[in-house]
Amino acid sequence: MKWLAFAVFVFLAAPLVVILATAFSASALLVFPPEGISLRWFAAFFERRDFREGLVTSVLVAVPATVLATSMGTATAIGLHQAPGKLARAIEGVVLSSLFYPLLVLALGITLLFNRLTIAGSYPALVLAEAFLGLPLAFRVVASGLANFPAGIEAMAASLGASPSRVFRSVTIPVLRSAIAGAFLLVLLVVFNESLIALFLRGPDLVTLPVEMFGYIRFRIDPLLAASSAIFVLATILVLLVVQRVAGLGSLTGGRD
Amino acid sequence: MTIGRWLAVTPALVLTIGLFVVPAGLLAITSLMTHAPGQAPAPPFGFQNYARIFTDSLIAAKTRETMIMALVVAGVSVALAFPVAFWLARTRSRLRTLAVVLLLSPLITNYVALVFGWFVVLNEGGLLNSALRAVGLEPVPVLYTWFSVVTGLIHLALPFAALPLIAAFSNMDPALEEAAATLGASARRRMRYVVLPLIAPGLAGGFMLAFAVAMSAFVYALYLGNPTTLPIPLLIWQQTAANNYPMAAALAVLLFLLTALGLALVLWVGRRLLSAPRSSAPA
Repeated sequence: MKWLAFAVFVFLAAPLVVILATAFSASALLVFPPEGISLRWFAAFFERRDFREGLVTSVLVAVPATVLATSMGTATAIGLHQAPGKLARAIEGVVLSSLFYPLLVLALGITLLFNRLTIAGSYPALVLAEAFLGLPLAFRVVASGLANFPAGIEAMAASLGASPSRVFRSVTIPVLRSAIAGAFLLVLLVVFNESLIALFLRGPDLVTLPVEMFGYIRFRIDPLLAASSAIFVLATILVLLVVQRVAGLGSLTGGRD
Repeated sequence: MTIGRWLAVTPALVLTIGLFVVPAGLLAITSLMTHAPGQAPAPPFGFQNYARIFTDSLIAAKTRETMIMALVVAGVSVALAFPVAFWLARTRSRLRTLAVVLLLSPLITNYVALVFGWFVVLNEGGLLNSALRAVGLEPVPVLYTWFSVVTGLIHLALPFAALPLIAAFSNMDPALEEAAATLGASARRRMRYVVLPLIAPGLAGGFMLAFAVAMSAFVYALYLGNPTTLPIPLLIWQQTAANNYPMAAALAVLLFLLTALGLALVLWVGRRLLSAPRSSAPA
């Protein structure tokens, strides 16, 4: 079983390893093993205005969308925490429902709505859509942080005379801090990498880096794409490692991570 | 629900209704509208788009292919996820963190970057063929085939297949397996009559999520496939790119129904497979 698992991890790593290897290669050929080591493809990446602007747009979309998603997800998790009744479970179901819906169908539906409202291709519209995409994830991470909340600690603070707002500020938020930080980083990562909704809602001045790459790969496949892909791979690995340290990935793996 | 709780959940609820429930309704309505080049979808309403879908033999063939591809992807993903989940749920290895990060990476990494990665793995001089040459085998032309699309999709679907399984394995009490072993059950019988029934919900959940992912990712078919590997998601993208939103919407409704059908099928088969043997299991 152990060796089978190892083989699957090799399969999981294969595309990531070749992306990093070709991005740092000195050759223009996409062969493996790569020939020589250099940073020339990263230099070439930053020399291209469209890629540079794509990276800036990606960050400008991801940050506000993540702030929105994390604050809404946190509020929802706190609001539903230990809430009794079927209604609370139903609300939880509604907020999580989009996780099980085909992303393509979701993207097309949002595009149709934004076309009607004539806001498709505008910056706030894309931020809102990406915030919606991150919402269930943020909710899950914070809710699972709440599930590990020391029982009765809020009631204890209240019995010692703290007002509800004081309890919230001095007890709830500090205990939840790492879960909220984990949710923020994960959603930031997901939105930064997201290509499908960004593709459907793109505008003349609103092209994120994944969408820029989507257009580029159609005509050319070269190490420039490797450098740009490597940015996403490195960001993904680094942020996941940080989240694992800060909040644990248990809310995703359902286990003890 | 108190007023405070309502205030806390309202923004998320409004956003979900606005960007999930309303668009789903709009999608259904648009699929009944008429397309005129250069114009927004408009009435008259009718079933003309669906009529085209159900009379077009190309779309019928694509529907079959999409379903087969998604079923293969989901099946292989669950099979590959099984040893991974089994190992991750029990190991105390220091490589565990790295393994979890590796497993989660396809879930997050930009599709286009992953497609590019598979291009470099599968092309003429790529990782796979270099490895084959190194051991003295003939290189295989797998890029731009059904196989390359399915390989990419399996990679993408693996974390979705693995996560419910990891949860199932973590919640399983190891003492049950030990008890079966003490009572003389062979490794195979322990797997069949103890482990599998206990993790069945995880297997079904993983299969369903992997299936839904495979039903949606058109970027893989577009850039790793060829004109004959043209499943429904890619048709939806092409109709959208051509501004034929009513047709795209009708195909999206079809995709949604196929996904739901596939999920119902999994639940039904899973229930039959796993409930029947228990009654016939030797005492």
